[in-house]
Amino acid sequence: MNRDDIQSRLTQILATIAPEMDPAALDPTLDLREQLDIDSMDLLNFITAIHKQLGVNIPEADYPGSPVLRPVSTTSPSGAES
Amino acid sequence: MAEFRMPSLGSDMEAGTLVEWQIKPGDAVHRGQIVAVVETVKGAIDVEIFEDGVVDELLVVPGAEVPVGTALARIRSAQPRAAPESPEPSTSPAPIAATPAAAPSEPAVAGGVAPAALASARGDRLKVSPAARRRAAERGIDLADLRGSGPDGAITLADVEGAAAPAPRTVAGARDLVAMRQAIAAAMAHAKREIPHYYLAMPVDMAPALAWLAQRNADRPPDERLLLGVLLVKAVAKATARFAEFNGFYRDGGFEPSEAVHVGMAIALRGGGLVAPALHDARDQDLDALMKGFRDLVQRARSGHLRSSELADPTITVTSLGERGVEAVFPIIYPPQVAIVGFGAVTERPWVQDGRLIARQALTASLAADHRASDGHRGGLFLAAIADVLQQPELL
Repeated sequence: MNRDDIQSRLTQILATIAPEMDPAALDPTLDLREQLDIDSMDLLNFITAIHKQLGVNIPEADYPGSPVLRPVSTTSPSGAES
Repeated sequence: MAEFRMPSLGSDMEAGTLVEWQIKPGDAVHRGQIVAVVETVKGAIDVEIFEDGVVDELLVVPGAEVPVGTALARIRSAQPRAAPESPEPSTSPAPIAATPAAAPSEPAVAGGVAPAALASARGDRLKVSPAARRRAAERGIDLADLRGSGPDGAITLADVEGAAAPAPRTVAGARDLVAMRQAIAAAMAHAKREIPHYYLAMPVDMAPALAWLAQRNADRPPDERLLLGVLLVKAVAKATARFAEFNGFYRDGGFEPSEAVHVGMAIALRGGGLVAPALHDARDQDLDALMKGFRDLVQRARSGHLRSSELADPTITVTSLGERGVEAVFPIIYPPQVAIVGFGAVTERPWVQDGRLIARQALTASLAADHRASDGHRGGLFLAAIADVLQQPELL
């Protein structure tokens, strides 16, 4: 799975949580939760879907600063942040 | 003979539109079974029945909007499956089951007795299978509007089913935001007009609960994690045990306490509006069960298929607007309930402990309560009890 695949899967998952969102309009420098009005249940559903569909288990302690909480275009496959 | 009526799904509901029957005459039904789908301003609701029996007759066809309390169906309470009282012989299961495939051979089926008589009595030139005719009658579909797919244009059961499906305007989850806004306006205006609210607030030390939660979730996969909101709900439910005057209904000039604790969860909907369906028996469930129920409830609140009991049953409501960052909530009671507990955002704030100033994770809990059912003194003790319960999260 390359970077584009991951981006596309994350965008798909996000679309199930915030169906009205426009991926192109997301600001990569801002937290997704604020941009998309995502509450704690939405966030948990997002993290759960990532675990189930991509096999990546993000511990709760890693939520702050996690790259998946930035718009998906900034996410690198290694999880390293710019 | 009992009547199954259009339920009241909250004080803001005056009428509902029957979208779909999930039962038919002759079916056995049991308490708690979902028997119909009703469209309300809160979306499509799965309506449960609250008795055991056998469906005698469906009185309202899908698509009809009827006031709360209107009889929708007649239910025979007796257990034995009596012979069909209806003169229509097609009630017997055999022809119905046989018909979709057997439509071409309809004359053979009709060779029996009544279906042919029925057709000729109506002077109907349409070729229609008995099951199709019956289903069309049940659903209020005009056969003349249908094009038959059977031999010689005969209308089959499948044709009727196909016509029935798209008829109601409901897509699961679709809501009329204007209607929902009007319903919220009516309910909240009623609450502010009728209920003498009093408001209390107090800070709650959340450090123990957060530490316990972090440890509890640390080695669990995402789908087994708990949200803080579930601890808050359980704390409220537990606290009602010694404060019965906050759990129940004010009706007909008096307060009726409730034995059960069904906590209404105020859930904001994307695009606007909110619903506050119940987490049933919240005091009796452990945190994992509550979390599962909460997840399911939020999902259905947003996509459709809340159940009628969930909208009708809440005995007290919890609103966690702190999720959106506000420090404190001064909520409005949902009539006929008598209390609503609000939780603000968890923030790190200055806290004095043992004469020393420390930084502490805390939130502001608030209570709006009905002064006809309780006094501020007891309200304060109730809030303090909620805060106390949260200091020992391992006992939740």
